[in-house]
Amino acid sequence: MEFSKKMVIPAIVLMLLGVLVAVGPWTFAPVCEVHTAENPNGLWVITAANKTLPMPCGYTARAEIGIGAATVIVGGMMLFATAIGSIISLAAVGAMMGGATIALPAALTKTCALSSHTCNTLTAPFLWVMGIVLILFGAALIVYRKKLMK
Amino acid sequence: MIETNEVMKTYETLSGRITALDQANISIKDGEFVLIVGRSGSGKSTLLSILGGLTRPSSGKVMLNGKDLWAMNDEDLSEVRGSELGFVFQFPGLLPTLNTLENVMLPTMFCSKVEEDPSERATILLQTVGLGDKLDSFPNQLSGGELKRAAIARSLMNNPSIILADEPTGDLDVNTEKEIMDMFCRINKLGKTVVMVTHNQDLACFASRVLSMERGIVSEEEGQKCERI
Amino acid sequence: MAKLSYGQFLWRNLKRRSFRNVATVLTFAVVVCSVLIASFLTEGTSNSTRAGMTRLGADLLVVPQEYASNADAIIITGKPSTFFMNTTEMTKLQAVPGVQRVAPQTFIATLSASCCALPTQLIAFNSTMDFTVTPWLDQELGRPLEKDEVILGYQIKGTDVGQPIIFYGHQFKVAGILQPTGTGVDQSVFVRDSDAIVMARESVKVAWQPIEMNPGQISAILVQLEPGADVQQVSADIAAAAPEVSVITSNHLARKIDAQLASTVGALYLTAGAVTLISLPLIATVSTLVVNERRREIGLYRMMGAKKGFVFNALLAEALILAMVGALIGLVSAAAIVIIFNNTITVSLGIPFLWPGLDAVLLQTWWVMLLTVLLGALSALYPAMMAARSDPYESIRAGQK
Repeated sequence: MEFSKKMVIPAIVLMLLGVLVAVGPWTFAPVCEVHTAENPNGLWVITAANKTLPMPCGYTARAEIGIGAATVIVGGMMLFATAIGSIISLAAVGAMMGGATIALPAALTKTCALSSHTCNTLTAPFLWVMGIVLILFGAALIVYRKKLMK
Repeated sequence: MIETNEVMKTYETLSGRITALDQANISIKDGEFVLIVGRSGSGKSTLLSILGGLTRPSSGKVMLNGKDLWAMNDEDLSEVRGSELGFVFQFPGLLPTLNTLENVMLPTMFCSKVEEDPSERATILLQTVGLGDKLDSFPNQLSGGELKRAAIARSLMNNPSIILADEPTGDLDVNTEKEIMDMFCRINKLGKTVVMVTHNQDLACFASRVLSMERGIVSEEEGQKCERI
Repeated sequence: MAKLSYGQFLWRNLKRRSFRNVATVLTFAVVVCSVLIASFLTEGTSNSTRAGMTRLGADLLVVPQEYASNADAIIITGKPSTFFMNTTEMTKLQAVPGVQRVAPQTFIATLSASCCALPTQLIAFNSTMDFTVTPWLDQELGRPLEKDEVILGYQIKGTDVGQPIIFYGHQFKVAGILQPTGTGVDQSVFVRDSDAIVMARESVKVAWQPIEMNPGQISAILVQLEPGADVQQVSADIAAAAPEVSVITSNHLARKIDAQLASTVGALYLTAGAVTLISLPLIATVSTLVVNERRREIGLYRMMGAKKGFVFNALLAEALILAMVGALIGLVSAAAIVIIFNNTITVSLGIPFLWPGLDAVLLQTWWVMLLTVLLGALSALYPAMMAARSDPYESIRAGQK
């Protein structure tokens, strides 16, 4: 494997995006009732009937860790992408991760029903934007692949 | 056939009126190779641009193939420029955004007299001027001589009867200059009228007739004989 | 390629001036984007207010004076609250001229429902007197609400029709789900007041945090006016007859929502206006400079037989293409922003929002796009005219220098 100098910036950008996707739903764009050290299992709600119920946005937050981690790995692999084929395929996978970032809150694990929940006012818009950025970034890498080749 | 009748061109400047062309009466027959020689500022380029329908004279008449050039409206005049005249300037004037083939084809976009396929005709013209292998090259990839040859090919695109050339060899070295002049001679032999403006007296031997210009006045040069270089 | 097409010709010319192009496209994109966001928000909000008031089905909503803003919030954004008023006010209201019918409702903010993490607004209505939910029931269910049945607002869709839903330990069954309105109604749950009282009584035993609700306790009175009655007049009469209450009308709500939206919409229009005012003369100037820079090129076209009209059209077409691309980018970004940040915008501004019908959206979009493209053409008019008029030989020579 050969290190590609030209891919350093794209790789770092992709890894950063991945970290944001993984960390965002737990920190600055939190899903509902994300609790920290004192209450690590904060992804549920206590109903009036004193019942503990899991929330869909909690699953979204968990799943986005996976997507973010996968994106970071793709970014890491980009550091060693010298051939045009590997640039294209890694960029495509990066764009697909963008699609998955959106698909989780939009269709797969979803968010809470009420629009005023933070998962709807913060997390979902944040993930949409990150997803779009990832897709556009992947597409841009494919368009400018020739300039990135070693 | 080009005929001018008392053509004048004056410019108003801060230091007064300048007469660039003074009552020019010239007549150029079909198939002639006419060289207009004069120092810079003598008014030769002004004369050529009036003959080519590019600058409106202050007074006088220009008849081109029986048509009163400056009595026409913009539409008809543009049509004449596009179909009956071909221009070559000292600067090649190729568009940097188009490749050689597209540059040569460009005139057909404004006026299309030729029935052949534009791309085929342009290719043949470029092959004739020796640029058959540069069809896809862009102007910045061509040398000075090549640019000039492409400009000549472009001037022939709409198969005009008259070629007007303004100092076409002005910026070329001696060898390339000869090459380009030979090309004009070949064009002339095909039956096209060539009117060329130059400050270089040495080119007189290529022409069938030489007019000289000084301070806006045109006069016929007699007895110009020379051997081809 | 048999011939160089006009489209290719324009495209090649555009490709060369990327800085001017990007600047122009961005300008138009920003203008279109801000105008469209403002117009989507304005339309969506008024559409939503209309839908919400229609769903409530009352001309006036009478609430205790000190809770007037709580009631506004329930309707506008669905921020739940619990408050009560005296039942005797009802009799006072019925005596006011112009009042046809009154019906009581009780608002209870739940702590957390089984469907949702945040408190939900329970609205208990009196099935014998009600005239707001009952017509909907007749139309959609063809029967009145039975014991322990609830109707859910559109957004509480975690639970489907026929499924159980638990509030304060009391199990209800979902009888129907309302159409979206974009208002607080979407986050409300409608129950019969008799069931609500049973639930309150049980909550003492089963719920984590019980609720206090006693028979005869009401939060608001919905008023239907006699046909032709003047809303202003009746509101004033009610205020005089029952000084302890506040009257909420749809006008009052619309004004309140407008006020909440005004600064944002104002800022958006200001942005669009400022960008237009600053950029258009700039674009016109840049276009004029570009025409000057392109004088030789234009002279060459004329030399090759291009008519004045061709030069004028080509330059105008370039400007139009840039304006259109910009407008399209603006449209896509405006739609994306309003769709993606819908919840963020509505919650932070405290406004209701319901997308107007596609036809209304398309009509708005069409006008904004048309105006932008016209603006683009306007900015290119003078330079294009100048270019077409210039003397070909002068142009060629000017370029030579």
